[in-house]
Amino acid sequence: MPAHLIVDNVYKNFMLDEKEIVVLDGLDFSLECGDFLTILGPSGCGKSTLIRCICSFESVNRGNILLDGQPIGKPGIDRIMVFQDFNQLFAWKSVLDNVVYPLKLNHIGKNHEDRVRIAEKYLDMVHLRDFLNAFPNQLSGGMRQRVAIARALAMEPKVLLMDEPFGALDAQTRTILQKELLQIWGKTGSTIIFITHNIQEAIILGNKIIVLSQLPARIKLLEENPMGIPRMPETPPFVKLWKKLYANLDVKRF
Amino acid sequence: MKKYIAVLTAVFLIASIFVFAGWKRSNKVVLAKQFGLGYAPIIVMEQKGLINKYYKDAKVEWVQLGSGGAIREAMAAGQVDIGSMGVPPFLIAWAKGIDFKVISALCRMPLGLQTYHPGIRTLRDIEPGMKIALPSPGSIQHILLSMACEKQLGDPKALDGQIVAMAHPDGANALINQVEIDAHFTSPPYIFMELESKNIHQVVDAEKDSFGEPFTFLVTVSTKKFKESNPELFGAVGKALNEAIIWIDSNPKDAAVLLSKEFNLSEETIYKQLTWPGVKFDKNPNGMLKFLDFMEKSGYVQRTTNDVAELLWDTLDPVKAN
Amino acid sequence: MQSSDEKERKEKYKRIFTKLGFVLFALAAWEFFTRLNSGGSFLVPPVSQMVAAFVRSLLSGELTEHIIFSLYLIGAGIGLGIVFAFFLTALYMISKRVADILDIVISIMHPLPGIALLPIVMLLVGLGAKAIIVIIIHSIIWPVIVNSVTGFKAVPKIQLELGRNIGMGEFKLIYSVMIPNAFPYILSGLKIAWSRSWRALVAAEMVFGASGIIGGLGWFIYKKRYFMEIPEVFAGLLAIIIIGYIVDELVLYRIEKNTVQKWKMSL
Repeated sequence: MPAHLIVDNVYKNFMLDEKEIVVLDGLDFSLECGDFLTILGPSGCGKSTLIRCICSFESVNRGNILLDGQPIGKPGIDRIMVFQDFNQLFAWKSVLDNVVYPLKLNHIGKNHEDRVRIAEKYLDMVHLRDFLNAFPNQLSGGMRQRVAIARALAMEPKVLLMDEPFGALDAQTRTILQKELLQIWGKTGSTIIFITHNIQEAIILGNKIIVLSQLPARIKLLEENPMGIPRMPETPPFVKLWKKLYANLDVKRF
Repeated sequence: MKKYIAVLTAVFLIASIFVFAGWKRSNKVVLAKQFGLGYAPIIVMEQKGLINKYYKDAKVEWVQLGSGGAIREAMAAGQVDIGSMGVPPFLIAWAKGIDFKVISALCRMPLGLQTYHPGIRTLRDIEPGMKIALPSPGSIQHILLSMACEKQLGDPKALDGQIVAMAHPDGANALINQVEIDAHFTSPPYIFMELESKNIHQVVDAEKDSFGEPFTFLVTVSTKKFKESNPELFGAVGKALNEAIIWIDSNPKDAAVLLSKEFNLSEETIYKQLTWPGVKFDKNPNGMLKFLDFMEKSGYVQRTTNDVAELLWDTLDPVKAN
Repeated sequence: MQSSDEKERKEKYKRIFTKLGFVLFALAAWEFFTRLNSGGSFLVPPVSQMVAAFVRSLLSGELTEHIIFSLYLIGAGIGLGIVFAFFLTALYMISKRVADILDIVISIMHPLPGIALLPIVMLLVGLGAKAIIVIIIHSIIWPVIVNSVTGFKAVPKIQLELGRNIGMGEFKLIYSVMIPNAFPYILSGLKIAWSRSWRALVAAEMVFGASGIIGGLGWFIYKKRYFMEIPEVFAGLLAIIIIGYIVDELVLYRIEKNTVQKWKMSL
């Protein structure tokens, strides 16, 4: 049986001032259904570009990306992105409507009540039950991210992609959201690709971890995370993995 | 207590300055300067300094305002002492109780309605939607049009919904170029320009078709306030105007020379206009009561009188006026 | 101990009371001083005369028919203006060439008051209701286009990617993502357009006369002025103020409250 998601020898370059800059240099990996992949790499190494390609926001110059054996097409709800930006909700719709609307757009759910039920279920999972009628600009950054996550999950995409979604949050909120995300992953069994520059976060969340090199991005390391959930940062296997990842992380030397 | 006295004294001093200033007779007279053939006596009076001839220490001040309406309002507010206007606009203000009267008539002149539409020979031929330009509602042109409407259509206000307010030069321009408007009710010199123009003919002759007899076009008006504040200066203005009128009437050639500088036209052109048939500079007003009667019956004013002296200051002889 | 809701309500009533109080005080002072100085009050009549003239001419139908005519003109002008504005805005967003040309046109036309265009408009369209509507359209389209374009350009790219991600086609993106995002700007443009066009309308009516059978508010005021019916002139001005207030407060403000303010999407 073909793997769930296959990234096959993917090349991508940009033109900048007439110079060709290679961003993705022959990336090659595959994921099974239900994998939680975290991607590490130095800033600007092309992590975002990779998942934007998987979502079809960018095109690849060479190579293929296959989902369940088929090449990916236009952007669609089979691959949903949760962005880093706080501005990723529709400000003129309530929290509930933000989750219900994409369902309506894609004819998910039998009728309105059904869709509301689905939306409430996922908003419950991110602990936003009491804010269904609030508007995004009334919420904190962390709460907006949770709405975005709930919205993404409600569409039950084949792959959920997250681009440093907790990057701009404080450490406490981040820890809480990491726990929530793992709980949700456990409940739904979704395939998740999660970008981060934080090694600890990568280990806590991912059962597979990729380390990308600096530009042009190549896979330096693809690790299976030996630990089971919950993964405690002080434990020896955690520390060992942390050191290994750290050693492979290209750090800009000045 | 001291502060109280100081304040009272200051107030008293300031008040007395105002009272004293008002008491002292002012030698100032404020006149509206207006351009147009009919205002020739005013221009002549200014250019020859005639007011100072009859009152040595007169401080003559000229102001220019945008429209006849503005002049009337400035006079109602006491800012202008002497202004000229058509007879109906004067009557409208008089009927509203503005405290002014005629110090002298200025002139009679031919007025009329012209058009470029060959098919319009009488007012009956004017179709709905056609536009008639005249200077403003309540102007002499408007009232003369209404008089003709009453005679030819039975209703003085029949064409009120088709009038457009346009200054004389704009209206003449539009009519001659056959754009924007369909007819123009106007006065000299524009009426001359239009009648000399190739495709334009007259539909209504004011004297023949509206009024039925000769009538005064423009009058010069003085506020009561001015007359009472300095009766001698007031009398001097009346004399100055009278001299100007007589001079123009008897010396059109010389008048043309003087006016050509002010109007920026050639002397021949102005001489031709001054001597056009129907043009007469005369201090005695005619037709005022008839205008007033018509306007009151048609609902343009709400007050009337049978005594022409109610409209005139004593610089004019009511026996010679009507 | 007052709840914050109660405090808010008290504050709101205090402000209404202050505004109302000021207006009533000003009106009373006006009435008092005009009755005192009977000499100069011809040009500034007492409030009571003005209100009486307003009611009289409203009931007799004279003022009413002029108001209706003005409203018809501004309705037609605004309707057409908005259609043209959005059409041109769409072209602006689609084609860089059109955008460049429009930029020049706007920088010339935007600052011009409608009255300045009078001579040209009269030559092209003649006198009459059509010309006034053209002037209204001119007063509207430039601010609406400028503000809408700014609003559309300010739509974050991420909103569009998000829209595509959840399966929106290009058309749906425009009216379900771009327009709501740009709405605060669009509304701002509409507010400016309203005030400019209402002023331009009254001014144009004064010039254009009885264009049509009746003429609008501007013509009403103009006529009354020349017949020296000053209380009626003020009655006309009062009508202008009231209509302006109704649209500003009851329409535009309401819209703003239920959209931009509710969503907290201020500029």
